[in-house]
Order: sequence, then C-alpha cells, then structure tokens
Amino acid sequence: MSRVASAAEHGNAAEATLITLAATGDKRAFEEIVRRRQSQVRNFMYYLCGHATERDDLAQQVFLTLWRSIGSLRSVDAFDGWLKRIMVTTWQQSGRRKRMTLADESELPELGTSAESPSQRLDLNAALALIPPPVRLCVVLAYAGGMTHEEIAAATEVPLGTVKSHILRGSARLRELLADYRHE
Amino acid sequence: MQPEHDSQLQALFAKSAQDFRDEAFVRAAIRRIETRDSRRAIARSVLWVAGLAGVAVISPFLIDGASWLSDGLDLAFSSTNRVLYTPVGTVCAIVLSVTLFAFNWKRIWVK
Repeated sequence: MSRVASAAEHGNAAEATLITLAATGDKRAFEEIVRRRQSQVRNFMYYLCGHATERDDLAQQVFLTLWRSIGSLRSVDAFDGWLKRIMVTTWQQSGRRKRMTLADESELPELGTSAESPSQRLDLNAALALIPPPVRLCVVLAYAGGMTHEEIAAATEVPLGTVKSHILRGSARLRELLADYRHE
Repeated sequence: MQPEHDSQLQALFAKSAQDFRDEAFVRAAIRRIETRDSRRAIARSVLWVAGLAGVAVISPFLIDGASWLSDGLDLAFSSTNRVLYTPVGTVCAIVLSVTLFAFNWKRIWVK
C-alpha cells in the first residue's frame, strides 16, 4: 500500500524534489528521474552512436554514473548541466575504448567517396554517422542539447575556437548531406 | 534556440527526437544499478573479512615487533642516561642545547 502510494507520489513530484530524495539514496525517486529523463539521454546517445543497443547500453551507463554520484550534487539547479556532463563523459569514455579522441582533427569525408551518394535519401542519424565523432558530439550538444558554444566547450573540455569550428563545419556538412532529403 | 544555431537544423533535430516512455528501459537501468550495488556490498564485506583475517595472521609478528622495539628503546634510553650522568656527557649536552637554542631562538620566541 505504502509502496504504491509512494510510487504515485514520486510520479507527481517536482523534479527538484525527486533529485533531493535521490541524493539521499531514495531509489524510487531515482527511478522516476530515469523515467522522465530517458528520452533526453537515449536520444542524445542515439544521435552519437546510431545503434539502438549501444544507445541503451550507454544511456544505462549514464544513469548508473548518475546514481553513484548524485549524493555529491551541491545544487538541484546544477542537475541538468551535470547530467549533460555525465552524458558527454560516458560517450567520450566509450569513444576512447574505440580509439577515438576529441582532439582528432580528421578531415570530414568528402561527398561521393563514402558508401552513400548525395542522391540517396539520408535521414538525420545516417547523416550524423558520416560526421567524425568529435564534430558530431559538438553538433549534437548544440542542436539536441540546446547548449551554447561556451557550455559545449566547458562540457567537452575542448577549446572554444575548436567547438565553433566543429559546429560550423558539422552544420555545413549536415546541410549538404540532408539537402536532397529535405527537398524530397 | 541558441542564436548561433541554424534554425532548420534545430527544427530537424526537434522533429526527429523520439519520446521514450519505455518501462522496460527503466527496469533494466534500475536492475543494473541494483546489481552493481549488491556487487559492491559483497566486495566490501569480502574486503572487511580479508582485513580482519590479515590482522589475525600478522598479529603474532606485530606483538614480536612491539616487544623488540620496546627492548631497543629501553636500551637506548639507559645508554643515554649513563652518558649524561658523566661530567663530559653533561657538558656536551649543555653545549649542544645552547648551540641549538642560539640557532633557533627566533623560531622559538618569535611567532
């Protein structure tokens, strides 16, 4: 009875309350946070990795890290930025396992040299997959995360100039790749 | 939307974002957390038991070491005592104390 009531209470609670409760070790409150934030985390990871299985694995890793460290969160207001930081770190760690670094300044693949030709219909995820991971991360943080260049630089620990350049080049490349798709 | 961002791309991202209301995912995430928590609890218990066993195993050596140290200190203090009670030893101790004070008086008096 109390368990059902508690679940219902958590379902209606404001996120700030849930965060405060989760920080004291309330797993049910944390479960509600997972429920509410899963779209944000899973979409972010899907844009970056493009695979549903890897997306969910990384998203679960994000929530695991969040649970482990939520007790050290100083302010409820900092939660959103902190979650984004964990998302970025989780992605970077998975990238490091695949021998990929943010400092990588590899050239963007030329149109027509990859398996997809410009005439093929490309959806957003397929287009993102054609962008190098460091550039993709900045573009996704900007457009899916709604972060400013300064916030991205802080979250990724990449110089501001590099972030701006990544977003400029990435956006141009995306527009190029999606041009046919948009016109159809 | 951030002013520096392309509005068309922003709209495309917003359109392609999925709204997940997936209980299976929530359950899987919580299960993963619980598995990790229980593994950590087991590891903590094992470490605690191993620590206790370690202390039990090395305690005879600790006791031997403590008595060896105590014997050594006894010997050192009694030797120093014997030397200090001779006239030469007393003069040496006074000279040493005065020298040390002369070089360190500032550190002793001035804060």
